[in-house]
Amino acid sequence: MTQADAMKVYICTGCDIGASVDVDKLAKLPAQFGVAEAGRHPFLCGEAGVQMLRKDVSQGANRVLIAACSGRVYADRFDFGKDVLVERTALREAAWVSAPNDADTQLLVEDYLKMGIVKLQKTGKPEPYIRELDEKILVVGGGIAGMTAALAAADAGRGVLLVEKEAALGGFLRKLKKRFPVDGVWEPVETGIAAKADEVNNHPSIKVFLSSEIASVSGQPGEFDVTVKTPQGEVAVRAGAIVQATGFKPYEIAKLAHLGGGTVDNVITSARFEEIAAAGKILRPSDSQEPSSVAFIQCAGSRDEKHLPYCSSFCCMTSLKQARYIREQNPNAKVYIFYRDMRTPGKYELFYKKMQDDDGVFMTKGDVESVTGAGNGGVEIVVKNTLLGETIRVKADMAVLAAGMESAAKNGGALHLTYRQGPELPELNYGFPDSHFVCFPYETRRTGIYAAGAVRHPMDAAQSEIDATGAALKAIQCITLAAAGRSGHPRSGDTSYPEIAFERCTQCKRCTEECPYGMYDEDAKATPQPNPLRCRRCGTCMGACPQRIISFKNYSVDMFSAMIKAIGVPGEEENRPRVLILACENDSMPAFDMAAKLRLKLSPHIRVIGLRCLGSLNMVWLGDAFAKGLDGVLLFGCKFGDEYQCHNMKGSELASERLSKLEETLGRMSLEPERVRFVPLAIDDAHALPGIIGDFMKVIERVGPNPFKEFAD
Amino acid sequence: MDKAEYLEPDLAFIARLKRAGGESVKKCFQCATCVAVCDVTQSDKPFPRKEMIWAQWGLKDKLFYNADVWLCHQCGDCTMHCPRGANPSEVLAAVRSLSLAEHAVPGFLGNMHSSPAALVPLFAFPIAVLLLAAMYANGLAIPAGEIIYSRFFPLAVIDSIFISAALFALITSALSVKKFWGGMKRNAPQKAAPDAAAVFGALKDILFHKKFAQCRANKPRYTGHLLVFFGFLALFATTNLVMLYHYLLGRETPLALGDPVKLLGNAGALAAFAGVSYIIARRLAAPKETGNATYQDWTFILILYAAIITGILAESARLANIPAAAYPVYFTHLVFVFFLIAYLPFSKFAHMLYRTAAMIYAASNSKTS
Repeated sequence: MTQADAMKVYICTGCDIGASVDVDKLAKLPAQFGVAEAGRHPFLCGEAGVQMLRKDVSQGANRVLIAACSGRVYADRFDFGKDVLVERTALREAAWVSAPNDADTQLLVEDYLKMGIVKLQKTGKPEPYIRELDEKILVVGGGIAGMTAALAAADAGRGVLLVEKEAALGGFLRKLKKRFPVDGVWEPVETGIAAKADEVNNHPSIKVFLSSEIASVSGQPGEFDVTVKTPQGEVAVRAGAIVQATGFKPYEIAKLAHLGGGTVDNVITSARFEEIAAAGKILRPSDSQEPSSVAFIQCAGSRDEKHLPYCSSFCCMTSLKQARYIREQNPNAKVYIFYRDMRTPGKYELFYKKMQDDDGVFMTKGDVESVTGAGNGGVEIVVKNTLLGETIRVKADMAVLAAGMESAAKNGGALHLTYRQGPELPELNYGFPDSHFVCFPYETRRTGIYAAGAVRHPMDAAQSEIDATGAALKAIQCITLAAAGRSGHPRSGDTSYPEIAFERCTQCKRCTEECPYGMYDEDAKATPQPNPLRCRRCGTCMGACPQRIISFKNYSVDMFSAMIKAIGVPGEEENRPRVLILACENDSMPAFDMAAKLRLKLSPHIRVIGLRCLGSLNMVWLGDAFAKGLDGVLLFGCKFGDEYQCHNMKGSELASERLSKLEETLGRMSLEPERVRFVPLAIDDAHALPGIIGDFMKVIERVGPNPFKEFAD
Repeated sequence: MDKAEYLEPDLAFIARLKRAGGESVKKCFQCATCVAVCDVTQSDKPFPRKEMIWAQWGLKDKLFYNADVWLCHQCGDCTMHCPRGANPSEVLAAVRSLSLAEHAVPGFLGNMHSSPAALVPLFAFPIAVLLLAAMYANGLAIPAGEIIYSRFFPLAVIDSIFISAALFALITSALSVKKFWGGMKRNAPQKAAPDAAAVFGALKDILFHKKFAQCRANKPRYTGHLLVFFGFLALFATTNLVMLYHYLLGRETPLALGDPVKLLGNAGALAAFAGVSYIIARRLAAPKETGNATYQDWTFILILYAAIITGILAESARLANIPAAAYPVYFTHLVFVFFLIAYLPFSKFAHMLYRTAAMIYAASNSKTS
């Protein structure tokens, strides 16, 4: 905070605040920090209240502390433009969870006000990172998803570069005889892929590179430098964002020996069957005879822990479609479909019903035990646990394995990123490059690079089209935000970015390794090379840095140290323990707000501070807290592990890893390890808070007061 | 595993089944709601879910030679609750309808009973036989004086015709049931041979209409069937008692209206008439609840109805003393009765054979050894 800064503090007395605490006393508190007595208003968010604030702002106040309700509400009303820094202190929520007109409640709100003042004093004005950016979208993959993304972006007025490794556009659909229906007639329909390819090829805003691959990608959103390997040699292009739509690979049926994959004649994948059908009459491969019976084996490799543990989502409809081909070709043909579950959700059920109604289609649930040769090119299928109530044997002229989808991103090879964290999109599960399946579809862990279609998730052509449109729009949004120096989600619009005091960097690589988004590259000496436009402002690097040299203008290690030090610590004899709570702003803080809304009662001895992500937890804060004489620290972050909920993928996990190394520090201070506890909390866990906090207060009571209270100032 | 036999779906059978009233068979997706709502089915390997997939797969041998198809009483509860409109109740009725021809010995008579065109020869035969008999007895002349039907058809003539017809029905019934029984044994080997308890249990269930009583969707069928069943039993008993009167006691027809046998016969006729009337009215008024009636259903019901009505009319005409009406009506009555008795194992009437056999088979098979 500089001389020219003018801070004003306002206390709202509405929403029970005035009735619960001594506002007059509170209003005088800013003086301790050299700030004028707080303004008061009974209805600060109302028109008159906001007018009052506006007036003060117009008269020079450029740092405004609103001591009223949670910062998660009315952000728009308390927005006075980019030149005015606004900080919020949630007195209302503090009052709601505490006993009114109680000495402890008064101490609580006083501490919150102090922390708010300190935080605002330590806040700098973020200068957005603005560059001259390229607005073109690079689409990798020219199948249904890639072409859809290209057209969506081009129709929205962006230039598009489309790179396809094969000699023609169309991808998987180009090889199909027909697509399965998604509406209306419930008959297989033309793929329409050639027309779509024409549209792409003829679009004035789309430049297509055929028989080409990506040699390398470096840079950041708005300035990706891409080398494309074309038949004419390498071409350097620049793009603002990237959509990876490289599709899927059918699961290798050679791995399915029990289903005759790769060993038994006339046992083929649905993809191969489709090629045969597309070429004309369906003839079986071994002897070009027309099959009079065909067995389809569903979930071939899918929903199987030993192969692909997930449902590939398109196989059921594909086999039903192919059954139709056979029945059309020969009305006396028999088609068997052995399934684990028929999965034809939504309107697809109507096609299933239609095919079910066909006299020559025989279906049963069951576990296919074996597919073996039965002489003369035929196959024998043994199916256990069938709906027919017994193990059955069926002979067919050929068998089609409905092989599942493997993401083309698995094992990489598409993007060749020059990023420090690796050349491809990080995988979430099973080789799919998703980042946060609950909140942020399309988003990968590489800012500005969006996965669309079957590369991202098993999906069919119709879903891929929707997916690709979404990804194209996200790519455009990303460039637009980057051009304004603003973050994408989860901290949408944030203009801060990490700055490093390089002179004190020890090249420990913690930041470059732990950033969930691969923001940092490294030079040869392992000095981090930030790419601020890749940053999502989670602060993980700041939490990781043992030198504490990474900070944001409005979010820093020092800021939180100061806030912790601003907490009043009563002497041991007062029997008023103090527990610091550091809570994730994405899920845990909303849970606290909800607890307040529900008027749940929480201990008045807690002091809650919201963090951008628990991944930004710097261990020095715990040292600060205990040195100050606080008795315990509770950390609330998102669930991690397989079903993680962290918005930044690994924040809470990294925090708990850092905590595992804490015991040593505590030991050095002769403090009990029970004084620190990490608790995973979901956004809807408000009702659990009184219990969790109550339990922890009992632990603190048991281990006794922090002996450092004596020495704290 | 043991080498199971290859399953071979029969497309032609599926087409036949659809034509016979099971057109919705392929709609079943095996959710087993039918099994859950059926009050008649047994808990071990319940029907009709498994029959539905056999039918979808055209596995006719499993369907034809399976007791469960006949344990179904076509209440329609399953059809009413089926979420896919697969109508299991109708499908099983269609299977039973095709079974009649399948099991029939001799087979051609079975086939004739599933074809409307064959009604001509099927009726022509009893008409011819009875005409010849009447010609032989009295030259087809309408006897003068008091109406006594034995003057038109002497008892010896009548009895020789109808006892032959009954014997024919008995023998062909036995052969047909034997075929059915053998098939059931092949498909689901018996745990124990049927004992007296199994037989009496089944007969008790039939007599008291226990299974019909469990139906919900088509509750009124219980009443209809009960009336026809006991009406028919009464008429059957009357016929035999009249024979006893004649051969043992020398008492001749027509019996006095107050005669206990006459009372039994008239009561039976009225009960059967009421029952069939009710069944027909229900079928016409509530086709959904009663289920699609097959060709066999209608021919059987209508011929039965005709036999009852002509019987009542014949008696009425006799009492009203209108010879010109009485004798032709009586003749017609005998044609219908002949149809019912002689063709019993081939018409829907045969349901009493197969259902009884199936109930006994199932009862003996459900016993734990």
